[in-house]
Amino acid sequence: MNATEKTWPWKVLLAVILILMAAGTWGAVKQIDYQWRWYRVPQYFFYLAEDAQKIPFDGTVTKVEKAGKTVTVTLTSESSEVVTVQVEAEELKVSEGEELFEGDTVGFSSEWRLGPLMKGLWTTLWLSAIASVFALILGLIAGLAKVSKNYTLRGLAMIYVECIRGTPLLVQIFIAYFFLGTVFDLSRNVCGIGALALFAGAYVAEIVRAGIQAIPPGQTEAARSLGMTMPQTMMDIILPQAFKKILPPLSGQFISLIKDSSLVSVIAITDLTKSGREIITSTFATFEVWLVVAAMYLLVTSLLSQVVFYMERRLAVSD
Amino acid sequence: MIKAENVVKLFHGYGTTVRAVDGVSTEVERGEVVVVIGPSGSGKSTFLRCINGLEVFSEGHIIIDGVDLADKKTNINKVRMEVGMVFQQFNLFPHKTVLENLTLAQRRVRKRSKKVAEEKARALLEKVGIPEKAGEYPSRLSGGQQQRVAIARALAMEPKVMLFDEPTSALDPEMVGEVLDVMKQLAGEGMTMVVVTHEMGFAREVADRVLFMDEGKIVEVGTPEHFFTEPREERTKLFLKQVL
Ligand SMILES: Nc1ncnc2c1ncn2[C@@H]1O[C@H](COP(=O)(O)OP(=O)(O)OP(=O)(O)O)[C@@H](O)[C@H]1O
Ligand SMILES: [Mg+2]
Repeated sequence: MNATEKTWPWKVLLAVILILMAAGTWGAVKQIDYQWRWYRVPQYFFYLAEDAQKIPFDGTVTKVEKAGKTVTVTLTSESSEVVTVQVEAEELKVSEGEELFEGDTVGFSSEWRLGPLMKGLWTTLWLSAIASVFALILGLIAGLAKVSKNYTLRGLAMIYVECIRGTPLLVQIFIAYFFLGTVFDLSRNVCGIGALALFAGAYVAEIVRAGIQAIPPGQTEAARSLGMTMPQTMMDIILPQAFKKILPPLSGQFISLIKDSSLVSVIAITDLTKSGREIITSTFATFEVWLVVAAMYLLVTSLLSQVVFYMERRLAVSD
Repeated sequence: MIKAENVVKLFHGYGTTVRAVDGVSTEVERGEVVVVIGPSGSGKSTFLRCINGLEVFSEGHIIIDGVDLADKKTNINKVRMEVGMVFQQFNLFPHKTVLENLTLAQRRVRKRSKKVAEEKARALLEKVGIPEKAGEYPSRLSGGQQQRVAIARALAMEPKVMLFDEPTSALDPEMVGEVLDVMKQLAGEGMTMVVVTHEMGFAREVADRVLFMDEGKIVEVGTPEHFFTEPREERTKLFLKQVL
């Protein structure tokens, strides 16, 4: 094929453009004399926490056992209660036979902990996951209602979808939190998840409707002519076929949901975006943190795209 | 078996009303094969679809085995279990294998066990001549094979009546024969059949009675010999001259 021979000049051009853009950005940043502090970023992913280990009663150190870098200290109280604590060998503050009072420091132990960026990412992920599940349920119900023969159901679904799609998500989150949250006494997490689910649900409903209507009517007719009921036809014939068709737009919607979830940071939910803001207030590493936060969103969404791509290929067997 | 009394089906469009079926009355005896012919748009499909409730007719009665479809208390799904239908476009379920196409309704509607349903399905695939395709998806089959699977799928419900709506019109000419053969065999076994078709050879060979429809009405009824030798109505003569 001719085209394969000729791709390399375009690849070079692409690389040149990217390099030029990077150089331009770098040059512009140079102009404003920004102090890059990349070394400050890793600690916000993971950090080594040191905890003081204290004796919970008045007592004596009965045994000090060293094993590699850690030391196991056995403490015995006056009423013969026994506890053991583990501390770093370098941080050991007591010796065998020493008498201690309640609250004295035996030594320090250290442990790797998740930093705010990881915690924020985790919050973003579970928030989006729960919201996605509810969005799927809501969207499925509303989508089915939109294609139903019943006027009331159709009307309700239409009003829901139009109201949600016609207003900004940020405003919906404010309404959910400041209005509904206050009236019904809901926590901020419930409000955040609820607003995201309602928002995505409206789009899922449209996707589901389009998916169902894309299945030829002959499928329903064949199933019904065999004596299957409408619910059976939906479950066995229409939805499985529609699902395959709507998987790409549906997954796109859930990827959007992950990105849109950054807006819940405005109601003080500490998701990835809010974590980023908090870190900046203590480090002033504004550029680095926002770039890292963006990269983390990008990583999650592209991983998800890969999973969907794989699923689509698996589902394509019967075509 | 089937009794239609003055059946009318109206379609309401923007400001217009189409009388797709306009006062059709007829009777089909048990074991009888009735072929319906007529020009395009004459209401053949619509009448057939009324018989198994895919279209709700506007006036009249259709009584199948003593059950009146016009009666609001009639459970249409019960009726459909007894009335099999084969479509021009096959309408196989593309996401299910041939075997699953045949067993699904048996299990959901007839409440048969998987084993019983599969035995029935395999026997029917044998009958329509494609036992080796049980595990295939419909998209891997030729048109003729797909239509035979569709016939087997309808038969799996053990219907008392089979309706065919131009079952060979979407097929390449070389595949028409294999489908007609299955239908002839079925007729020979005494199945009650209503067949909409343009295959005059089939009508001549198999039909007990031919209905000629035009503009929603039955214009002429008779044996195949009557139609092919001495048709009475002008419209029938005109139509037969075009198709023969
Ligand atoms: N769903 C529908 N809505 C509106 N009009 C319809 C509908 N279905 C059929 N019609 C009209 O009813 C009339 C009869 O149609 P029908 O499909 O029954 O004809 P037919 O005899 O089967 O024709 P063909 O040989 O082309 O299949 C036609 O005028 C058609 O336009
Ligand atoms: Mg037709």
